[in-house]
Amino acid sequence: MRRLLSAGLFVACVASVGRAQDTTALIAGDAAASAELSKIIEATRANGLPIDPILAKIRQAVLFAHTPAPRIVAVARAMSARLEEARAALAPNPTQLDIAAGGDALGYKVSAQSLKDIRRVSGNRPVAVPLGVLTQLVTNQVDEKKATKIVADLIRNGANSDMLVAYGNQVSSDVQSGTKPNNAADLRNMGLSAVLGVPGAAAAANVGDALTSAGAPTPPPGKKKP
Amino acid sequence: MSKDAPDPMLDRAIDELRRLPPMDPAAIRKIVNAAAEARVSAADEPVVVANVRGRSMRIWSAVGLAAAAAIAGFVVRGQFANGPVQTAAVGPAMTETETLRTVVSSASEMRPILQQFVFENASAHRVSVVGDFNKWNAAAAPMQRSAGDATWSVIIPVVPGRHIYGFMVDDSVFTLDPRAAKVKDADLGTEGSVVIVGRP
Repeated sequence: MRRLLSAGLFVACVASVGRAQDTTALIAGDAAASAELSKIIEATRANGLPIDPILAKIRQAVLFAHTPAPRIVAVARAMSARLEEARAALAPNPTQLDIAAGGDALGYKVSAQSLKDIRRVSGNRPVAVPLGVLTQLVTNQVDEKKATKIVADLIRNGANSDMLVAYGNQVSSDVQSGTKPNNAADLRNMGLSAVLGVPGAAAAANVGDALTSAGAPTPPPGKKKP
Repeated sequence: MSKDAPDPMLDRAIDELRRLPPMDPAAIRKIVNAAAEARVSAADEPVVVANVRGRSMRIWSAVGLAAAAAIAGFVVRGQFANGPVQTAAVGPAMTETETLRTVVSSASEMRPILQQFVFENASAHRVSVVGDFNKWNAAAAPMQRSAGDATWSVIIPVVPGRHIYGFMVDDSVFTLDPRAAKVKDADLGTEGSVVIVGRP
């Protein structure tokens, strides 16, 4: 009965898209794939994991990516497994958003160890935003270990979620402008660390000179200021 | 009976009133999270421009939050009320209070944040923003065109975190946001625009 109900709910959910019914017919017309998806979703829900990311991915696959049904089933199964892995890595009290963000990060080849590192440094606070920024850095080709260390250090030094988001966006913008990903990550890290008052960061970022000289150009290394 | 003499009936009544049912921190966490999660699903939230529906949804959200606040207030009050009497219970009581504070803080950090999406298209008749935050439902967040302008925009609540999205033009053409970074979906291989929503 529960399976029937969940299958019904899923079909209703997919069918509610309206104008895109021709593409939902791909799933609706594939009874085996639909049944398999229902099983995966029900098992994920019964396991206490969030199902919204899977439902969203299925709809994206059907409506926008026009993915074949067997591939959609495989993706849903892989996502369910990643959500479980993320929950374990983000123990002991991850929120549903944390788990979803962790599952997303794992999908982009961020390691479970990195998730654990972010959890450890964040204590009991939500980690959806730090993990989102970490994922963004990794998708921008920043080395995963470097990205994890930077995000963890920034959290440890008191960066709030808005600062982390700004940091991620700056790196992303730098990379799009042609800066090498690891260089962009380091450079922006120095800037934010200086703002956070991390010892040595201002000197490393040359922020001190810029501030004391009130906008005057920084002298090249080796030359003394008059 | 003198003014300072103990009154057994009164003492018993006080004891009864002081005795609270045992509280399970996990249950408290579950209730507070449930109240927060009730607002979390962006797909279920109203688009800000939809006034009538938006108002009724906000009332329900407010009721949910009020319920969570009432539970939180009851628990905190109970813990503090017991504090001076049951000295031995001060340790655990503070632990539960701290746990509750963390839970309430976490719940507030998970609340959706209003996010504006802007798109330029002079020839479109309809534009909506679609993404994982509204389960790629083109009907969930229709954008409004500025008068005499090619600019479409909408403000919708989005939960904190990283999100993939795009714009659906005239119900048929999926378009990326030229103002945002783009990423290839790890599972599907399709491109999407990226936004990371954080709470200040």
